[in-house]
Amino acid sequence: MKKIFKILVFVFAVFFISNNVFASSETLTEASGNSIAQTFQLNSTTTINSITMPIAGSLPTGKTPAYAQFVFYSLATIDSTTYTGLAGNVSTYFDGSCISSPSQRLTFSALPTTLTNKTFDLAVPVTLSAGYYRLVIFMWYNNNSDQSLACGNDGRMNVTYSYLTDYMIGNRQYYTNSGVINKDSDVEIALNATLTPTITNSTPAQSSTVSSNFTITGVYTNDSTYDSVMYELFDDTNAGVDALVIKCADAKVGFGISYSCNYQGRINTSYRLTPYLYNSNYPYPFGSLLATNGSISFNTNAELNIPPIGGQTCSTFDVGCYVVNGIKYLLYPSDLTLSNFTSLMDIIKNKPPIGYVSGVITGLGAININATPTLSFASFTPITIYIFTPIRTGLIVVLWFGFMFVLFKRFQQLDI
Amino acid sequence: MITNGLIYLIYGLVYLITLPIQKLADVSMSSNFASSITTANGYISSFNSIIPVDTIGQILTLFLAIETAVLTYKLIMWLIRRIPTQS
Repeated sequence: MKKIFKILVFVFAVFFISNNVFASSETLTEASGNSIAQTFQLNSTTTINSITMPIAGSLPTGKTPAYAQFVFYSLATIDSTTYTGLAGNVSTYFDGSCISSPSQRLTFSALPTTLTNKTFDLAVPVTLSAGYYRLVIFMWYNNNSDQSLACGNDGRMNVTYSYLTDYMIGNRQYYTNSGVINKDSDVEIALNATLTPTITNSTPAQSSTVSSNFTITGVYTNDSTYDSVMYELFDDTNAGVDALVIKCADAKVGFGISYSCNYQGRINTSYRLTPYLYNSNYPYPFGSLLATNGSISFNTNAELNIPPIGGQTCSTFDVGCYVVNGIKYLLYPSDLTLSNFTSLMDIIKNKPPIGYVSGVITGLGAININATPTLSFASFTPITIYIFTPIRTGLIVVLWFGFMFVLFKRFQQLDI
Repeated sequence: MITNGLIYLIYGLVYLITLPIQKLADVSMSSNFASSITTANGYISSFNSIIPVDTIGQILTLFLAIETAVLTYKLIMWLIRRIPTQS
């Protein structure tokens, strides 16, 4: 039993450490360009009865029926911390509840290929006070094509939601009956672009300078002055495996400007550029990226070309240097061979059953002791100063001494 | 070159063993799990003013690291003992 426990602890620890030490890539699960959502500001209290928007798209094979859900989130800034809360929910199904009347659903038997300025009457009008909001439109579909959407937990198990533009495309023109949301813009194009590098030397070096230069154009709203642009370049060589190679420092929005970013790394065959906006004051940007035009150039410079065997350039008669280089060549592992394990780990850590362990570890990593407290024990300052803080300090001392004692006993009984 | 060759061999073996796993679909955690963490954060943050949660985390991490080191050492020694003439 002890052995099983130790093995479990070992497996847990290995994944814990591997997740933190060997995690060299980052996978984006939600690119900002993948959602139909709009941040807007209300100047006064407004009741919204309907939303009008153009809509087009198609459901994935075997996914039917589908219906749309409109949710308003409120954005508020308190003491420099931004809180997001549900402000209004206009649809059939949210937060575990279920409206039984099918007539309140915005149901599609199949998504329309083109629906110009379709007006969706909201089942329940939403009254929002002045402030900042974000409207998110979710698309729901049933995983099981011959099973209708059901209410409650059992039904929810069979329902998956996806960000809308995976299956629907909108051009971000929303407006309501009261005209408060009016985002005039050009037709949006895909922000994700797959880019194939032009390799300038016939034998790609293991280490080369990757330069990316591209132009971003965008649109401002009145509140977009806080928006910044971030752009990320992913190595897309292995299908389905995103490896972030460049995450450039943000620059204040300057649309129509050519950006460049340098990265020293290996050359692969396919890269994907994903620019997005973010807002440091609010969880979502107010502007929209409309188009990107990009090219990536891959250059090698002399010192980064294929290095000499052993990695060191020797003078003509330096025999010792040659010997050292020879030993290095024979015994030193290359970065490429070692990185294979990292790539493999990146794949496996998302697969069952290990993926569940990774997921739990990732989830546990999100534990944050500085989150907004649910309960408040220290509302009266003197209690904190004279009671809680001394107790806490004492517990810290006791815990560390206890740990040292346990450690001492552990090493006494260590059998290796 | 020699080390590279050995590493490639090990990698090939690991790749082959894990091939069935690689073909499986990615797992996705239920959204309820993330929301439970968020809820737990609120309570942990509440009790952190009295109970040093961060210290407990540090001690737990240290304990796991030490146990991992011991087990790794034992695993390596066990592998070495598989080599003929080694006991």
